[in-house]
Amino acid sequence: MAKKKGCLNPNCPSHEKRKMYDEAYIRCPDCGEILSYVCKGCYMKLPNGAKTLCVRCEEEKKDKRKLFRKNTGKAFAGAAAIAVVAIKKIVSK
Amino acid sequence: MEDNIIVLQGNKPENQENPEQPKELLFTALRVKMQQTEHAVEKIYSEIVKMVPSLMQIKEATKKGYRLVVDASERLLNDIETGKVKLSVEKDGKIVAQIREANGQYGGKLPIKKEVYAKGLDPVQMANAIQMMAMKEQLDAIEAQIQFIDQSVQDVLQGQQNDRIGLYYSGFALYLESQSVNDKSLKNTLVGQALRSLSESSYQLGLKMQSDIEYLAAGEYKKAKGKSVNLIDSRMDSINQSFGYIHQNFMLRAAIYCNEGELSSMSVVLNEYSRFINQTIKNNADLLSQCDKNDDGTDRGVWHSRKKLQLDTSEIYKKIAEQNKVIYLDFAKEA
Ligand SMILES: [Zn+2]
Ligand SMILES: [Zn+2]
Repeated sequence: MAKKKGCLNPNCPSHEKRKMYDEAYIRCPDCGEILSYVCKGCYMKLPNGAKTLCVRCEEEKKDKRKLFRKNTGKAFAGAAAIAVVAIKKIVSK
Repeated sequence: MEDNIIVLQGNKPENQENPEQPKELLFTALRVKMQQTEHAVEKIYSEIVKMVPSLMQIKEATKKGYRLVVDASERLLNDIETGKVKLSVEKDGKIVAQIREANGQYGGKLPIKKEVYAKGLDPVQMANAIQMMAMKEQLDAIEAQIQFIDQSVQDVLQGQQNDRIGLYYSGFALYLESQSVNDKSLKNTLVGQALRSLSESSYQLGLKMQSDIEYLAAGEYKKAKGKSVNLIDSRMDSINQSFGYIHQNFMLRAAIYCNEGELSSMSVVLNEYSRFINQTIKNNADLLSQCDKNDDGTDRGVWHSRKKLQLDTSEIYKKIAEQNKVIYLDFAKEA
């Protein structure tokens, strides 16, 4: 995943709309301020060596993925049960 | 003595909605000290002005090796009018004056005579005044920094209550109690207990904060599948709370020492606060800001601004530790 930059000038429309720019951008197209690396999730300023997400957002993303797996797992189990019932019905016919 | 601490543990003061803020206590204490200082310096100043002719006599005497009682000459008096008198505290606590010679150098040290003290100048007060004047600039800078950090702390502390902070409130209560006591030795005992309680509380909160940070740094929250963010948030709440009380704690102890007139202890406390920041926060600021949902990661953000807190007490400490404390009294305007 590519790192993103953002504008940290609190008075800039780019900052307000949390606009993200590619790494290659140096300055903000709206206000001219030097862009910083920002978290793709919460737009907080990240240190230069950091990933695309801050620690908290990265965990949040993983948490959601885990919850999603859990839920879809349950959905599969449910579908399987229905299938079994259907097969039983067919067999009993 | 310990009983007092146990009894008071965990009880917030009654006036919880509008507590006397440690920061305010410290700032008030500093302001009072500064006013006393200015007053004392004015007194010293006016006494020195009166003394000048006799100082000149002593000067003559030391130069010539025998005591010569003369009136200061026109030329010498003129030197004083356009020059300065330097006051300093010697190692032994004696205060001496030095007069700047025509060549810009300060002449021999002239002891300030007993009669000056007899006129209501307290040597301790004078020494303190000299100390405070030397510290004034640094104190202003420190106030500004504390003011900034304090804002982020107050929000966190609203409505917090647990046993870890009991010692803090017991220290606070003991100190407030000491202020309403007239008996000097009882008062001292209470102040001592308050300080002990506060420093123990600060130590415990520091350990707790340290272990919370280590937990985050080691990524231990990852072990709970699907609940990592909850774990991060609850650790961050704990860290913010610990920091808040540690901040209050240092402010309160500095205020107590300032009120007690122990300025060097006050500077040690502020120094200790800076050291705590360096040891606990400085290297973890990036991690803490990324775990704190209220931090925007900028220099103005919660943790990077805390990281920068450096109460410049090394200067103060140096000045206090200096063998000679010096203030310059400008005679040019008055004479
Ligand atoms: Zn911008
Ligand atoms: Zn984020």
